[in-house]
Amino acid sequence: MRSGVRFDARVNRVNYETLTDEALLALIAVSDRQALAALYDRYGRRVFALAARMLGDPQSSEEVTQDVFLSVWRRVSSYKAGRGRFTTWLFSIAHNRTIDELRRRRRERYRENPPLEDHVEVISEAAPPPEEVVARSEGAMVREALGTLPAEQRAVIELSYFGGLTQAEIADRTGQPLGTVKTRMRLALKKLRLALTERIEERSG
Amino acid sequence: MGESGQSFRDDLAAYALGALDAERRREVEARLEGDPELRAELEEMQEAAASLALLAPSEEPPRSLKARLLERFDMELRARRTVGAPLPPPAPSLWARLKRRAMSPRLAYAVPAAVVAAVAASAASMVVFNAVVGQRIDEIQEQLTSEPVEQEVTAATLQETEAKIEERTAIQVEEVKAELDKKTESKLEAAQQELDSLRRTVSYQTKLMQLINREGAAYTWLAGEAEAAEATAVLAANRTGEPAVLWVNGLPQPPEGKRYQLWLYYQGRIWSPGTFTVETNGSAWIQLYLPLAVSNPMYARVTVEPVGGSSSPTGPDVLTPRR
Repeated sequence: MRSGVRFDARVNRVNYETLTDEALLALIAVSDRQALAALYDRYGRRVFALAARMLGDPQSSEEVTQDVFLSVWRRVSSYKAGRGRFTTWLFSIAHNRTIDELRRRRRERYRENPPLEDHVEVISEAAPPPEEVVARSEGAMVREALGTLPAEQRAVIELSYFGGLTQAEIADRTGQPLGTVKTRMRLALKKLRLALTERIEERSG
Repeated sequence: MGESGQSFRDDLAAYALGALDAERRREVEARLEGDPELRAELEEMQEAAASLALLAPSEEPPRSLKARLLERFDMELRARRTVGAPLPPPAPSLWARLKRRAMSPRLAYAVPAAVVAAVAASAASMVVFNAVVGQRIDEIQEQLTSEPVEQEVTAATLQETEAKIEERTAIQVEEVKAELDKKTESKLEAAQQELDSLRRTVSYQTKLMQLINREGAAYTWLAGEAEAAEATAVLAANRTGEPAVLWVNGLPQPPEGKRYQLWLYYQGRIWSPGTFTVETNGSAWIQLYLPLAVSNPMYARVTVEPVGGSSSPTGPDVLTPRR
């Protein structure tokens, strides 16, 4: 009987670390606890870092990170493999969840004490990269690609993606017409995508 | 509906960057539903936007986070299975999570001393209670065997009595348990609040250190005045594009109809990011996007001002630079 147990254990052992993202998702779809744990090991830090960057508050970032991974489990059936990369899907979930938290908090603070947000002014100069980002090659590539954008396009990206401001709020604060802000966003993403593609091709070719 | 394709495409970029309000977001989603071409375009933009996530400075989540995530997963999974519902229920209450943690001995280290004491107290009372009941059973048994009655009757009576005692005991145990549970609950909740507040303080400290350890960082310590003598605050900023932070501790609630307002002096001018209040424990953690010119202010102070703020300081000082 003992040898039987051992045999089963060996046959059933899955090395989660070596599975692809898609394979992990397939297991998460059937509520495999270890698969979710492995996915967390793989991406938990990045999701947490994004939330912490946007919220500036480790406590809420922990809540958000938990919510994001549980969302992956709940919504795994809506992920279409082969249509876009998994990380795009994951970071979209993480970004949206963090923005919701950011806006909820702003609404609350606004009720509490309205003027704080109203006086906020815009840093028009794009921020230089923090050191540790440069050290990570993927991050460095994105940083480089972002560096090819004109300052005003970088600014709308910073304010919307990390600051969680809507296009109308950005127009309000920068004093630019809404149409200009919209166009800048579109051009900025287009250019960023192009610059990223170039760099990926350079690297692999 | 009738809007031009170009304007709609512009909104796709805003959608990918998360820059639409909730209403417009839903409109865009509805329109994407039946348009694979637009969806493909959006996916390209989303891919570019998602790469921005890699720019966030690396930050290590606490090690306990994974365990807490899996704990929530377990609870939802169990709920799904017992109810057979296709969707998981809303997140379990803090209390439910906490109780599970407190009752599980291998996680005892994660529970503050007050919680451990509360649980131990409940366990101790149960031991005493069981001992009393046990003794009572022994007494009745002794009484029954020592009395000169017929053998069968004694056996039957004993059995009956035992059954009765068992039943009563079960009821009483439940009652005592419920009562203790209630007491333990409030103690646990208080302890958890304390723990949360400590944890928050530690994470704010860490965050602050990270902020002021970078090159080009500037910070000012502020100390309380008059009635707010116990209060301290630090205003920290750096030039990496991260928001500046004002962290206040030990400040009492502002008077009725008043708010605290922060003032920054730079290059001979004065500027205010706005007003704020503090939490019940007297603390506040406020992120500020400062204009570049103000990111290294010469002087900062906090005054009491009417709700809505003033355009220049009018009220008394509550926080001024530490001498």
